[in-house]
Amino acid sequence: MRRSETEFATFVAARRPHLRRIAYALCGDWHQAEDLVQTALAKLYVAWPRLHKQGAEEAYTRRIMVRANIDESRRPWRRESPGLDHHDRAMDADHSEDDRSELIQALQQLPPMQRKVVVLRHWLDLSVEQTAGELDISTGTVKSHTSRGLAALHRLLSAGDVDAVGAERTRSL
Amino acid sequence: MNDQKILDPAEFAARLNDSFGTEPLHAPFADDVRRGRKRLRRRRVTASLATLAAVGVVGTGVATMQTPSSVRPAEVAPAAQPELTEAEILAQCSTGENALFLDGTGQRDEGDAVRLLGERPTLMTSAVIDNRTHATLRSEDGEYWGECQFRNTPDNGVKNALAVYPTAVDFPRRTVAGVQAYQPANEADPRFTGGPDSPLPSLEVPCVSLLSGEERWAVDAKCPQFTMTWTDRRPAEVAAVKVVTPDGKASWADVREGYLSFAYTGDMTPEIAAQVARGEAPGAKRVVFYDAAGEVLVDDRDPGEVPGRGELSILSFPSLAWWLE
Repeated sequence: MRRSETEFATFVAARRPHLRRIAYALCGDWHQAEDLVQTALAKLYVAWPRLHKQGAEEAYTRRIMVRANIDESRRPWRRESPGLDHHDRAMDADHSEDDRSELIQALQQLPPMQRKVVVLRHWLDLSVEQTAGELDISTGTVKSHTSRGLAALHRLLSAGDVDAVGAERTRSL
Repeated sequence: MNDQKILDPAEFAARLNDSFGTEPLHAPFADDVRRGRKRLRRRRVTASLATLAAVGVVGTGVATMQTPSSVRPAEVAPAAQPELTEAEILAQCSTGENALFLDGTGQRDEGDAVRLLGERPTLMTSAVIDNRTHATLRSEDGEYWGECQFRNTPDNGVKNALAVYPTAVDFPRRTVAGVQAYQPANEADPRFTGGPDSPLPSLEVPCVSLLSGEERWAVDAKCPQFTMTWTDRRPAEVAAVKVVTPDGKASWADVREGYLSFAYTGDMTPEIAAQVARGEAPGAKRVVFYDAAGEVLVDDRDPGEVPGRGELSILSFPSLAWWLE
Protein backbone atom coordinates (compact mmCIF):
# COMPACT_ATOMS: atom_id res chain seq x y z
CA MET A 1 0.00 0.00 0.00
CA ARG A 2 1.37 3.40 -0.97
CA ARG A 3 2.08 5.96 1.72
CA SER A 4 -0.80 8.23 0.71
CA GLU A 5 -3.14 5.25 0.74
CA THR A 6 -1.95 4.33 4.21
CA GLU A 7 -2.71 7.86 5.35
CA PHE A 8 -6.12 7.65 3.70
CA ALA A 9 -6.72 4.36 5.50
CA THR A 10 -5.78 5.89 8.82
CA PHE A 11 -8.17 8.78 8.25
CA VAL A 12 -11.02 6.52 7.22
CA ALA A 13 -10.50 4.19 10.15
CA ALA A 14 -10.55 7.10 12.56
CA ARG A 15 -13.26 9.28 11.09
CA ARG A 16 -15.66 7.05 9.16
CA PRO A 17 -17.98 6.37 12.12
CA HIS A 18 -18.24 10.06 12.89
CA LEU A 19 -18.81 10.98 9.24
CA ARG A 20 -21.57 8.45 8.91
CA ARG A 21 -23.25 9.76 12.05
CA ILE A 22 -23.23 13.23 10.51
CA ALA A 23 -24.83 11.80 7.40
CA TYR A 24 -27.39 9.94 9.49
CA ALA A 25 -28.28 13.05 11.47
CA LEU A 26 -28.86 14.83 8.17
CA CYS A 27 -30.90 12.20 6.39
CA GLY A 28 -32.28 9.96 9.16
CA ASP A 29 -31.62 6.78 7.24
CA TRP A 30 -28.61 4.52 7.74
CA HIS A 31 -28.68 3.24 4.17
CA GLN A 32 -28.68 6.69 2.68
CA ALA A 33 -26.06 7.76 5.21
CA GLU A 34 -23.81 4.93 4.09
CA ASP A 35 -24.31 5.95 0.45
CA LEU A 36 -23.39 9.50 1.28
CA VAL A 37 -20.23 8.46 3.10
CA GLN A 38 -19.17 6.12 0.31
CA THR A 39 -19.64 8.81 -2.32
CA ALA A 40 -17.80 11.39 -0.26
CA LEU A 41 -14.88 9.07 0.54
CA ALA A 42 -14.44 8.13 -3.12
CA LYS A 43 -14.18 11.80 -4.00
CA LEU A 44 -11.86 12.36 -1.07
CA TYR A 45 -9.56 9.57 -2.27
CA VAL A 46 -9.04 11.35 -5.58
CA ALA A 47 -8.32 14.68 -3.94
CA TRP A 48 -6.42 13.17 -1.02
CA PRO A 49 -2.82 14.37 -1.71
CA ARG A 50 -3.81 18.02 -1.94
CA LEU A 51 -6.39 18.00 0.83
CA HIS A 52 -4.27 16.01 3.24
CA LYS A 53 -1.44 18.47 2.76
CA GLN A 54 -3.85 21.27 3.61
CA GLY A 55 -5.34 19.40 6.56
CA ALA A 56 -8.73 19.91 4.93
CA GLU A 57 -9.76 16.30 4.46
CA GLU A 58 -12.52 16.16 7.05
CA ALA A 59 -14.03 19.52 6.15
CA TYR A 60 -14.01 18.53 2.48
CA THR A 61 -15.71 15.20 3.15
CA ARG A 62 -18.31 16.79 5.36
CA ARG A 63 -19.03 19.46 2.79
CA ILE A 64 -19.47 16.85 0.08
CA MET A 65 -21.99 15.01 2.23
CA VAL A 66 -23.89 18.07 3.39
CA ARG A 67 -24.22 19.45 -0.10
CA ALA A 68 -24.80 16.18 -1.88
CA ASN A 69 -27.57 15.44 0.57
CA ILE A 70 -29.26 18.65 -0.50
CA ASP A 71 -29.84 17.19 -3.91
CA GLU A 72 -30.41 13.64 -2.85
CA SER A 73 -34.15 14.05 -2.89
CA ARG A 74 -34.24 15.66 -6.29
CA ARG A 75 -34.20 12.73 -8.63
CA PRO A 76 -35.44 9.64 -6.86
CA TRP A 77 -38.23 9.16 -9.34
CA ARG A 78 -36.44 7.14 -11.94
CA ARG A 79 -35.07 4.40 -9.72
CA GLU A 80 -35.99 1.00 -10.98
CA SER A 81 -34.47 -2.42 -11.06
CA PRO A 82 -33.92 -4.01 -14.42
CA GLY A 83 -30.25 -4.30 -13.48
CA LEU A 84 -27.47 -2.84 -11.36
CA ASP A 85 -29.83 -1.53 -8.73
CA HIS A 86 -27.11 -1.36 -6.11
CA HIS A 87 -23.65 -0.49 -7.25
CA ASP A 88 -22.07 -0.94 -3.88
CA ARG A 89 -22.22 -3.48 -1.17
CA ALA A 90 -25.62 -3.50 0.46
CA MET A 91 -25.93 -2.83 4.15
CA ASP A 92 -27.48 -5.32 6.47
CA ALA A 93 -31.23 -4.92 6.61
CA ASP A 94 -31.63 -4.91 10.36
CA HIS A 95 -31.74 -1.15 10.76
CA SER A 96 -35.11 0.05 9.72
CA GLU A 97 -36.41 3.56 10.12
CA ASP A 98 -38.39 2.34 13.13
CA ASP A 99 -35.14 2.29 15.07
CA ARG A 100 -34.77 6.03 14.87
CA SER A 101 -34.84 7.97 18.11
CA GLU A 102 -37.39 10.63 18.77
CA LEU A 103 -34.78 13.34 18.23
CA ILE A 104 -33.66 11.92 14.90
CA GLN A 105 -37.29 11.72 13.83
CA ALA A 106 -37.87 15.29 14.94
CA LEU A 107 -34.82 16.45 13.02
CA GLN A 108 -36.18 14.88 9.85
CA GLN A 109 -39.32 16.95 10.19
CA LEU A 110 -37.36 20.18 9.93
CA PRO A 111 -36.89 21.76 6.51
CA PRO A 112 -33.53 20.56 5.09
CA MET A 113 -31.59 23.78 5.58
CA GLN A 114 -32.78 24.21 9.17
CA ARG A 115 -31.76 20.65 9.88
CA LYS A 116 -28.29 21.14 8.39
CA VAL A 117 -27.74 24.40 10.25
CA VAL A 118 -28.76 22.94 13.59
CA VAL A 119 -26.54 19.90 13.13
CA LEU A 120 -23.53 21.90 11.98
CA ARG A 121 -23.90 24.64 14.58
CA HIS A 122 -24.94 22.72 17.66
CA TRP A 123 -23.67 19.23 17.22
CA LEU A 124 -20.48 19.78 15.23
CA ASP A 125 -19.96 23.11 17.00
CA LEU A 126 -19.16 25.09 13.88
CA SER A 127 -19.30 28.87 14.18
CA VAL A 128 -21.96 30.91 12.43
CA GLU A 129 -19.39 31.95 9.83
CA GLN A 130 -18.13 28.40 9.29
CA THR A 131 -21.68 27.11 8.92
CA ALA A 132 -22.50 29.85 6.44
CA GLY A 133 -19.43 28.93 4.40
CA GLU A 134 -20.18 25.24 4.57
CA LEU A 135 -23.72 25.70 3.28
CA ASP A 136 -23.04 28.67 1.02
CA ILE A 137 -25.64 30.84 2.74
CA SER A 138 -25.41 34.13 4.61
CA THR A 139 -24.65 34.40 8.32
CA GLY A 140 -28.07 36.01 8.82
CA THR A 141 -29.71 32.98 7.26
CA VAL A 142 -27.71 30.71 9.55
CA LYS A 143 -28.92 32.62 12.59
CA SER A 144 -32.55 32.59 11.58
CA HIS A 145 -32.45 28.89 10.66
CA THR A 146 -30.77 28.14 13.98
CA SER A 147 -33.40 29.79 16.14
CA ARG A 148 -36.30 28.47 14.08
CA GLY A 149 -34.82 24.99 13.98
CA LEU A 150 -34.24 24.80 17.73
CA ALA A 151 -37.69 26.20 18.40
CA ALA A 152 -39.29 23.65 16.13
CA LEU A 153 -37.35 20.85 17.80
CA HIS A 154 -38.41 22.09 21.22
CA ARG A 155 -42.03 22.15 20.14
CA LEU A 156 -41.89 18.71 18.54
CA LEU A 157 -40.12 17.08 21.44
CA SER A 158 -41.95 18.71 24.32
CA ALA A 159 -45.38 18.17 22.78
CA GLY A 160 -44.58 14.60 21.90
CA ASP A 161 -45.52 15.76 18.45
CA VAL A 162 -42.98 13.75 16.54
CA ASP A 163 -44.77 12.08 13.70
CA ALA A 164 -44.79 8.46 13.00
CA VAL A 165 -41.64 8.24 11.00
CA GLY A 166 -41.53 10.70 8.18
CA ALA A 167 -45.25 11.20 7.82
CA GLU A 168 -44.68 14.90 7.51
CA ARG A 169 -41.36 14.74 5.73
CA THR A 170 -42.31 15.22 2.15
CA ARG A 171 -44.51 18.15 3.04
CA SER A 172 -41.91 19.87 5.20
CA LEU A 173 -39.23 19.80 2.52
CA MET B 1 -40.02 39.87 19.38
CA ASN B 2 -40.34 36.15 19.09
CA ASP B 3 -40.69 34.67 22.57
CA GLN B 4 -41.03 31.07 21.52
CA LYS B 5 -39.03 28.61 23.58
CA ILE B 6 -36.10 26.94 21.94
CA LEU B 7 -34.29 23.74 22.69
CA ASP B 8 -31.13 24.32 24.70
CA PRO B 9 -28.26 23.76 22.24
CA ALA B 10 -26.24 21.86 24.85
CA GLU B 11 -29.19 19.57 25.48
CA PHE B 12 -29.57 19.06 21.75
CA ALA B 13 -25.94 17.99 21.37
CA ALA B 14 -26.15 15.62 24.33
CA ARG B 15 -29.40 14.07 23.16
CA LEU B 16 -28.13 13.67 19.61
CA ASN B 17 -25.01 11.92 20.87
CA ASP B 18 -27.30 9.43 22.59
CA SER B 19 -29.55 8.99 19.57
CA PHE B 20 -27.55 6.72 17.35
CA GLY B 21 -28.35 3.47 19.04
CA THR B 22 -26.96 0.30 17.57
CA GLU B 23 -25.33 1.23 14.30
CA PRO B 24 -25.12 -1.04 11.29
CA LEU B 25 -21.76 -2.43 10.31
CA HIS B 26 -19.57 -0.23 8.20
CA ALA B 27 -18.73 -1.26 4.66
CA PRO B 28 -15.25 -2.82 4.58
CA PHE B 29 -12.41 -0.34 4.29
CA ALA B 30 -11.22 -2.20 1.18
CA ASP B 31 -14.43 -1.14 -0.53
CA ASP B 32 -13.73 2.52 0.20
CA VAL B 33 -10.29 2.16 -1.35
CA ARG B 34 -11.69 0.23 -4.32
CA ARG B 35 -14.21 2.95 -5.07
CA GLY B 36 -11.56 5.64 -4.67
CA ARG B 37 -9.09 3.81 -6.91
CA LYS B 38 -11.76 3.28 -9.53
CA ARG B 39 -12.62 6.95 -9.52
CA LEU B 40 -8.96 7.95 -9.73
CA ARG B 41 -8.14 5.35 -12.40
CA ARG B 42 -11.01 6.48 -14.55
CA ARG B 43 -9.86 10.07 -14.34
CA ARG B 44 -6.28 9.20 -15.26
CA VAL B 45 -6.98 6.69 -17.98
CA THR B 46 -9.49 8.85 -19.77
CA ALA B 47 -7.08 11.74 -19.72
CA SER B 48 -4.07 9.84 -21.02
CA LEU B 49 -5.85 7.75 -23.62
CA ALA B 50 -8.12 10.46 -24.87
CA THR B 51 -6.53 10.69 -28.28
CA LEU B 52 -6.85 6.96 -28.75
CA ALA B 53 -10.54 6.84 -28.01
CA ALA B 54 -12.14 4.43 -30.42
CA VAL B 55 -15.07 5.70 -32.40
CA GLY B 56 -17.28 2.99 -33.78
CA VAL B 57 -20.27 2.83 -35.99
CA VAL B 58 -23.79 1.95 -34.98
CA GLY B 59 -26.03 1.82 -37.97
CA THR B 60 -29.51 1.95 -36.56
CA GLY B 61 -32.16 4.55 -36.32
CA VAL B 62 -33.28 7.47 -38.39
CA ALA B 63 -31.58 10.83 -38.30
CA THR B 64 -33.48 13.47 -36.40
CA MET B 65 -33.87 16.89 -37.95
CA GLN B 66 -33.51 18.59 -34.59
CA THR B 67 -29.74 18.45 -34.36
CA PRO B 68 -27.63 20.62 -36.65
CA SER B 69 -26.43 18.42 -39.48
CA SER B 70 -23.22 20.41 -39.70
CA VAL B 71 -22.01 18.90 -36.45
CA ARG B 72 -22.83 15.32 -37.30
CA PRO B 73 -19.92 13.38 -38.79
CA ALA B 74 -21.14 10.45 -40.83
CA GLU B 75 -19.39 7.89 -38.64
CA VAL B 76 -21.48 8.70 -35.58
CA ALA B 77 -24.87 7.06 -35.25
CA PRO B 78 -27.90 9.31 -34.85
CA ALA B 79 -30.26 8.96 -31.93
CA ALA B 80 -32.69 6.12 -32.57
CA GLN B 81 -36.18 7.55 -32.70
CA PRO B 82 -39.33 5.97 -31.30
CA GLU B 83 -41.82 4.41 -33.66
CA LEU B 84 -44.55 5.96 -31.56
CA THR B 85 -46.10 9.19 -32.78
CA GLU B 86 -45.55 12.40 -30.89
CA ALA B 87 -49.09 12.23 -29.56
CA GLU B 88 -48.55 8.68 -28.32
CA ILE B 89 -45.37 9.64 -26.51
CA LEU B 90 -47.04 12.63 -24.89
CA ALA B 91 -49.94 10.46 -23.81
CA GLN B 92 -47.63 7.89 -22.25
CA CYS B 93 -45.71 10.59 -20.41
CA SER B 94 -48.92 12.15 -19.08
CA THR B 95 -50.38 9.15 -17.32
CA GLY B 96 -49.29 10.55 -13.97
CA GLU B 97 -47.57 7.36 -12.93
CA ASN B 98 -44.65 8.20 -10.61
CA ALA B 99 -45.00 11.87 -11.48
CA LEU B 100 -43.06 14.40 -9.46
CA PHE B 101 -42.77 18.17 -9.53
CA LEU B 102 -39.62 19.77 -8.14
CA ASP B 103 -39.28 23.48 -7.63
CA GLY B 104 -36.45 25.68 -6.44
CA THR B 105 -37.18 25.36 -2.74
CA GLY B 106 -37.24 21.62 -2.69
CA GLN B 107 -41.03 21.56 -2.59
CA ARG B 108 -42.32 18.42 -4.18
CA ASP B 109 -45.83 17.91 -5.34
CA GLU B 110 -46.75 14.75 -7.13
CA GLY B 111 -50.25 15.89 -7.97
CA ASP B 112 -49.19 18.99 -9.84
CA ALA B 113 -46.64 17.45 -12.17
CA VAL B 114 -48.91 16.50 -15.06
CA ARG B 115 -51.21 19.49 -14.61
CA LEU B 116 -48.30 21.93 -14.90
CA LEU B 117 -47.36 20.59 -18.30
CA GLY B 118 -50.75 21.71 -19.53
CA GLU B 119 -53.13 20.32 -22.10
CA ARG B 120 -50.75 20.44 -25.02
CA PRO B 121 -47.10 20.10 -24.05
CA THR B 122 -44.45 20.06 -26.76
CA LEU B 123 -42.32 17.01 -27.28
CA MET B 124 -38.82 18.44 -27.31
CA THR B 125 -36.66 15.32 -27.72
CA SER B 126 -36.98 11.58 -27.57
CA ALA B 127 -34.91 8.42 -27.80
CA VAL B 128 -35.77 4.76 -27.72
CA ILE B 129 -34.23 1.38 -27.04
CA ASP B 130 -35.94 -1.99 -26.82
CA ASN B 131 -37.15 -1.77 -23.26
CA ARG B 132 -37.88 1.94 -22.85
CA THR B 133 -38.53 5.34 -24.36
CA HIS B 134 -37.07 8.58 -23.01
CA ALA B 135 -38.43 12.03 -23.77
CA THR B 136 -38.28 15.65 -22.71
CA LEU B 137 -41.34 17.89 -22.87
CA ARG B 138 -42.10 21.59 -22.49
CA SER B 139 -45.39 22.94 -21.25
CA GLU B 140 -47.64 24.88 -23.58
CA ASP B 141 -46.99 28.10 -21.63
CA GLY B 142 -43.25 27.47 -21.55
CA GLU B 143 -43.15 27.72 -17.76
CA TYR B 144 -42.32 24.09 -17.09
CA TRP B 145 -40.49 21.20 -18.63
CA GLY B 146 -40.45 17.52 -17.93
CA GLU B 147 -38.31 14.45 -18.40
CA CYS B 148 -40.08 11.20 -18.91
CA GLN B 149 -39.39 7.53 -19.34
CA PHE B 150 -41.74 4.65 -19.96
CA ARG B 151 -41.42 0.97 -20.71
CA ASN B 152 -42.02 -0.28 -24.22
CA THR B 153 -42.97 -3.80 -23.22
CA PRO B 154 -44.79 -5.11 -20.15
CA ASP B 155 -42.97 -6.42 -17.10
CA ASN B 156 -39.49 -5.51 -18.27
CA GLY B 157 -38.45 -3.83 -15.03
CA VAL B 158 -38.59 -0.28 -16.38
CA LYS B 159 -40.43 2.22 -14.21
CA ASN B 160 -42.76 4.68 -15.88
CA ALA B 161 -41.92 8.10 -14.50
CA LEU B 162 -42.20 11.82 -15.10
CA ALA B 163 -40.32 14.65 -13.38
CA VAL B 164 -41.37 18.24 -13.97
CA TYR B 165 -39.28 21.34 -13.28
CA PRO B 166 -39.73 25.07 -13.76
CA THR B 167 -37.99 26.39 -16.88
CA ALA B 168 -37.11 29.74 -15.29
CA VAL B 169 -33.71 28.74 -14.02
CA ASP B 170 -30.33 29.87 -15.16
CA PHE B 171 -26.79 29.70 -13.90
CA PRO B 172 -24.19 32.41 -13.29
CA ARG B 173 -21.80 32.67 -16.19
CA ARG B 174 -18.25 33.80 -16.47
CA THR B 175 -15.54 33.40 -19.06
CA VAL B 176 -13.89 30.03 -18.63
CA ALA B 177 -11.35 28.89 -21.22
CA GLY B 178 -12.71 31.49 -23.61
CA VAL B 179 -16.41 30.66 -23.40
CA GLN B 180 -19.26 31.72 -21.14
CA ALA B 181 -19.67 28.87 -18.73
CA TYR B 182 -20.16 28.04 -15.07
CA GLN B 183 -17.20 28.01 -12.72
CA PRO B 184 -18.00 26.80 -9.20
CA ALA B 185 -16.67 28.54 -6.15
CA ASN B 186 -15.34 25.25 -4.86
CA GLU B 187 -15.23 21.57 -5.66
CA ALA B 188 -18.01 20.78 -3.24
CA ASP B 189 -20.57 22.72 -5.26
CA PRO B 190 -23.69 20.55 -5.17
CA ARG B 191 -24.19 20.85 -8.92
CA PHE B 192 -20.78 19.31 -9.33
CA THR B 193 -20.70 16.70 -6.64
CA GLY B 194 -24.14 15.39 -7.44
CA GLY B 195 -25.33 12.10 -6.09
CA PRO B 196 -26.20 8.61 -7.22
CA ASP B 197 -28.77 9.97 -9.66
CA SER B 198 -26.61 12.67 -11.20
CA PRO B 199 -27.83 13.70 -14.65
CA LEU B 200 -25.23 11.85 -16.70
CA PRO B 201 -25.37 8.93 -19.13
CA SER B 202 -26.32 6.04 -16.92
CA LEU B 203 -25.48 2.38 -17.51
CA GLU B 204 -27.91 -0.37 -16.68
CA VAL B 205 -28.24 -4.03 -17.49
CA PRO B 206 -31.55 -4.85 -19.20
CA CYS B 207 -31.78 -8.44 -17.95
CA VAL B 208 -34.48 -8.63 -15.30
CA SER B 209 -33.36 -10.27 -12.07
CA LEU B 210 -34.80 -10.70 -8.60
CA LEU B 211 -31.40 -11.22 -7.03
CA SER B 212 -29.48 -8.56 -5.13
CA GLY B 213 -25.94 -7.76 -4.11
CA GLU B 214 -23.06 -9.85 -5.38
CA GLU B 215 -25.37 -12.58 -6.71
CA ARG B 216 -27.05 -9.95 -8.82
CA TRP B 217 -23.79 -8.57 -10.13
CA ALA B 218 -22.67 -12.01 -11.24
CA VAL B 219 -25.91 -12.53 -13.19
CA ASP B 220 -25.86 -9.02 -14.63
CA ALA B 221 -22.31 -9.53 -15.92
CA LYS B 222 -23.59 -12.40 -18.05
CA CYS B 223 -26.30 -10.32 -19.66
CA PRO B 224 -25.47 -10.07 -23.38
CA GLN B 225 -26.21 -6.36 -23.54
CA PHE B 226 -26.06 -3.15 -21.56
CA THR B 227 -28.01 0.07 -21.95
CA MET B 228 -27.04 3.67 -21.41
CA THR B 229 -29.69 6.37 -21.09
CA TRP B 230 -29.81 10.05 -20.27
CA THR B 231 -32.47 12.76 -20.27
CA ASP B 232 -31.59 16.27 -19.27
CA ARG B 233 -31.89 19.96 -19.96
CA ARG B 234 -28.67 21.86 -20.47
CA PRO B 235 -28.23 25.54 -21.40
CA ALA B 236 -29.80 26.39 -24.74
CA GLU B 237 -26.47 26.88 -26.50
CA VAL B 238 -25.92 23.12 -26.29
CA ALA B 239 -27.22 22.21 -29.75
CA ALA B 240 -25.76 18.75 -30.27
CA VAL B 241 -24.35 16.09 -27.95
CA LYS B 242 -22.16 13.13 -28.81
CA VAL B 243 -21.72 10.31 -26.32
CA VAL B 244 -18.98 7.66 -26.44
CA THR B 245 -20.38 4.73 -24.49
CA PRO B 246 -18.26 2.28 -22.43
CA ASP B 247 -17.91 -0.01 -25.47
CA GLY B 248 -16.12 2.78 -27.34
CA LYS B 249 -19.01 3.46 -29.74
CA ALA B 250 -20.13 7.01 -30.46
CA SER B 251 -23.77 8.05 -30.83
CA TRP B 252 -25.67 11.30 -30.97
CA ALA B 253 -28.29 12.29 -28.47
CA ASP B 254 -31.49 13.89 -29.68
CA VAL B 255 -31.02 17.55 -28.72
CA ARG B 256 -33.14 20.66 -29.12
CA GLU B 257 -32.50 23.97 -27.39
CA GLY B 258 -30.50 22.20 -24.70
CA TYR B 259 -33.13 19.54 -24.03
CA LEU B 260 -31.71 16.10 -24.65
CA SER B 261 -32.69 12.46 -24.76
CA PHE B 262 -30.20 9.66 -25.19
CA ALA B 263 -30.75 5.92 -25.24
CA TYR B 264 -28.28 3.31 -26.41
CA THR B 265 -28.01 -0.46 -26.34
CA GLY B 266 -24.61 -2.10 -26.74
CA ASP B 267 -23.11 -5.54 -26.56
CA MET B 268 -21.60 -6.45 -23.21
CA THR B 269 -17.81 -6.48 -23.62
CA PRO B 270 -15.48 -8.44 -21.36
CA GLU B 271 -14.21 -5.19 -19.87
CA ILE B 272 -17.71 -3.93 -19.04
CA ALA B 273 -18.76 -7.35 -17.75
CA ALA B 274 -15.77 -7.40 -15.40
CA GLN B 275 -16.79 -4.05 -13.98
CA VAL B 276 -20.43 -5.09 -13.64
CA ALA B 277 -19.33 -8.26 -11.84
CA ARG B 278 -17.62 -6.04 -9.27
CA GLY B 279 -20.82 -4.07 -8.80
CA GLU B 280 -19.58 -1.09 -10.77
CA ALA B 281 -21.47 0.78 -13.45
CA PRO B 282 -19.01 2.37 -15.88
CA GLY B 283 -19.95 5.79 -17.15
CA ALA B 284 -19.64 7.27 -20.61
CA LYS B 285 -16.08 7.47 -21.87
CA ARG B 286 -16.57 10.82 -23.46
CA VAL B 287 -19.28 13.44 -23.96
CA VAL B 288 -18.97 16.30 -26.45
CA PHE B 289 -21.22 19.36 -26.46
CA TYR B 290 -21.49 21.39 -29.69
CA ASP B 291 -23.08 24.75 -30.35
CA ALA B 292 -25.48 25.45 -33.22
CA ALA B 293 -22.60 26.36 -35.53
CA GLY B 294 -20.99 22.99 -34.99
CA GLU B 295 -18.22 24.34 -32.81
CA VAL B 296 -17.17 22.22 -29.85
CA LEU B 297 -18.30 23.82 -26.61
CA VAL B 298 -16.60 21.19 -24.51
CA ASP B 299 -15.02 17.81 -25.19
CA ASP B 300 -15.23 16.04 -21.84
CA ARG B 301 -13.21 12.85 -21.63
CA ASP B 302 -14.11 12.24 -18.02
CA PRO B 303 -17.82 13.09 -17.80
CA GLY B 304 -19.04 13.89 -14.32
CA GLU B 305 -15.64 14.72 -12.92
CA VAL B 306 -14.97 18.18 -11.58
CA PRO B 307 -12.69 20.21 -13.85
CA GLY B 308 -9.69 22.08 -12.54
CA ARG B 309 -9.99 25.82 -12.16
CA GLY B 310 -10.13 27.53 -15.51
CA GLU B 311 -10.89 24.26 -17.28
CA LEU B 312 -14.13 23.15 -18.90
CA SER B 313 -16.19 20.02 -18.48
CA ILE B 314 -19.81 19.24 -19.29
CA LEU B 315 -20.49 20.44 -15.74
CA SER B 316 -19.56 23.90 -17.03
CA PHE B 317 -22.84 23.72 -18.98
CA PRO B 318 -24.78 22.36 -16.03
CA SER B 319 -27.97 20.42 -15.88
CA LEU B 320 -30.76 22.93 -15.36
CA ALA B 321 -32.72 20.26 -13.53
CA TRP B 322 -30.10 20.67 -10.84
CA TRP B 323 -30.11 24.43 -10.90
CA LEU B 324 -33.30 25.13 -9.05
CA GLU B 325 -32.04 27.10 -6.08
